[in-house]
Amino acid sequence: MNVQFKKGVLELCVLVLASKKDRYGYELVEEISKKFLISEGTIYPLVRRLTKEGFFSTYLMESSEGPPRKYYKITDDGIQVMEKLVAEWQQFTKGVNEMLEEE
Amino acid sequence: LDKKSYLINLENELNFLPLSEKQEVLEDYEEYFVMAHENGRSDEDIIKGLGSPRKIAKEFLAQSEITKASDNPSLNSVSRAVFATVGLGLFNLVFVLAPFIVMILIPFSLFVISAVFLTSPIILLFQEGLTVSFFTSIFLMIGLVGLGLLLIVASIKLFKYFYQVTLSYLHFNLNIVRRKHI
Repeated sequence: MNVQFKKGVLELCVLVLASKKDRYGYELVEEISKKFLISEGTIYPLVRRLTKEGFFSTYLMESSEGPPRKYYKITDDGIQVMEKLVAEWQQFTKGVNEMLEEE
Repeated sequence: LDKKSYLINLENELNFLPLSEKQEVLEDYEEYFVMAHENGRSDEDIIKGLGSPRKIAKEFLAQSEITKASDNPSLNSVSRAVFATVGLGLFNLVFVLAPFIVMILIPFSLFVISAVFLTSPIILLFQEGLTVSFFTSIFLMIGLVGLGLLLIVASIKLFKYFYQVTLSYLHFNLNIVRRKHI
């Protein structure tokens, strides 16, 4: 898949995943990797920027095994921007699908 | 390449970041290694998945330059943002750098023209010396200087507008969601 194209979609995926429950970095990469191939290293720059923009807040939580994990929690602003991106995405895929199905 | 040398490489590549931020980023990647180990992955497998430290650093660089330029647009900061974006891939050489260079010629040439107008009395003085023809063209020169002043204001405004357009295009090009999109 085209890299530039996928980048925009990745933002959407990360926001949607975090809106379901708070996530830690590895979990985000793991969930997305289950669906399609990504360069795992680029998720952190992305999540970091979204955090700086105020779409995520972070906190550390102890885990039963190993060191504490950094969790990402979506903010109200994050939910707003996610809803907008989801709507755009649905409109986009609907258009593409209609074209594919046209005789 | 193992975890330790990978993280050292990454640290070296991230030297442009402020120290505290660099530390945070390294901690994130360290955590990543720990989590992946727990999932039974080897260093080699993790490193392959993460991609090269240089590539990761380029992402951070482009991001930080674009943020800096957006906060404080100037010829220097905007050019840095453009070049950092070009570093992300060959694609951007054609779609980012080329339009940037072509577009910047417009405010730049306007700036050069206004500079010529503003210095026209001095140029004429050198050409003619303090002769009658210098004094007869004094009104012409006042006109040219006035025009030069107007053009210089216009070119400064045009430069500022150009920065904004360039930054919006970088955001669009990198599919970056920003606050103002809400």
